[in-house]
Amino acid sequence: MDFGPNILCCPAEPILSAGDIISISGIGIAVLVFILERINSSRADNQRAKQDWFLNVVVEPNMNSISDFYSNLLDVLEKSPKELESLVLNPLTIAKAEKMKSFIKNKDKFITEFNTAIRSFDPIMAKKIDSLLRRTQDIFTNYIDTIGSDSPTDYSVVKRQMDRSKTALYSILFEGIKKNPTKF
Amino acid sequence: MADRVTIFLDKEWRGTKSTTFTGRPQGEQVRDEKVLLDEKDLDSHNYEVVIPNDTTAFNSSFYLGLFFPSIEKFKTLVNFDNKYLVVFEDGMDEKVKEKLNEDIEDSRRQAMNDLEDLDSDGFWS
Repeated sequence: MDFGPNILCCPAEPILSAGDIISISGIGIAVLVFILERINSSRADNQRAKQDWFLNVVVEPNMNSISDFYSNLLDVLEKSPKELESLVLNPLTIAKAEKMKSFIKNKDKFITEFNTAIRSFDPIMAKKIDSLLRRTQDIFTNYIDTIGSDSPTDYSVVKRQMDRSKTALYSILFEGIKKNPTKF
Repeated sequence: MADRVTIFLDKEWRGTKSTTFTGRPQGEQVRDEKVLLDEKDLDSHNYEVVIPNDTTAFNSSFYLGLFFPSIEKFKTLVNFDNKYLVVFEDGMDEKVKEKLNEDIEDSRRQAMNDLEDLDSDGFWS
């Protein structure tokens, strides 16, 4: 039986030349780079969208409220000495407690809800804000506590501390963007 | 309900001439050095923690320093409340009590948030 020329017996011509392989590899690399760029670009778009949402929906509309929160606290602190100094021991204790109440009242008016919104997408940032507010409440409380004592704290001192707290709050809100842009 | 053992928060722990319980480190110090809550967490007694008269603030910083490790151990506030009940010394003014109750509620809200944060990964991660 004749099977014709046996193709296996002859030296085969290479199916792909070196030039073909280089050319196909080049195309493969180009496709791979394209896919990686698309993935990267899509991730960057998502991060940008989250960043925009955080700034435009959460932070910016609430800047005035943050400012009001601190203004209200400073208002209480500034007026308290005049209102409390004339009181004797027992009424003074009650009046101090009443003044101190205004911290939580002001916090609940705005900050608590604001921080709940932040907690939903960045618990660490919310935790930092909670911690800052706790320290701020201590400053607020301790200032009122010294009214009528032998060594009352000067208003200028507490004002400076409250200003620092406000700056720290803004810093926390923006630190994710400033220091760690890839986080977004 | 079984009788609770009393833990009295000494006025001196509020700081010199202070009427307020403030500061997380101060709360932690009272927990570790004065009332030894780590040991009490493990025993079979239940406790009432008494806030003294003339106190004007029981801030969340102090509350969390004093109680958060216990709340963490007991997992929920219900379990924690079974073990520790915060009460006021007899004779405290009702308005002051109301204010201190607000402080405690605010502290418990924050404790819950901190507990939830421990289990949360967050939106950005």
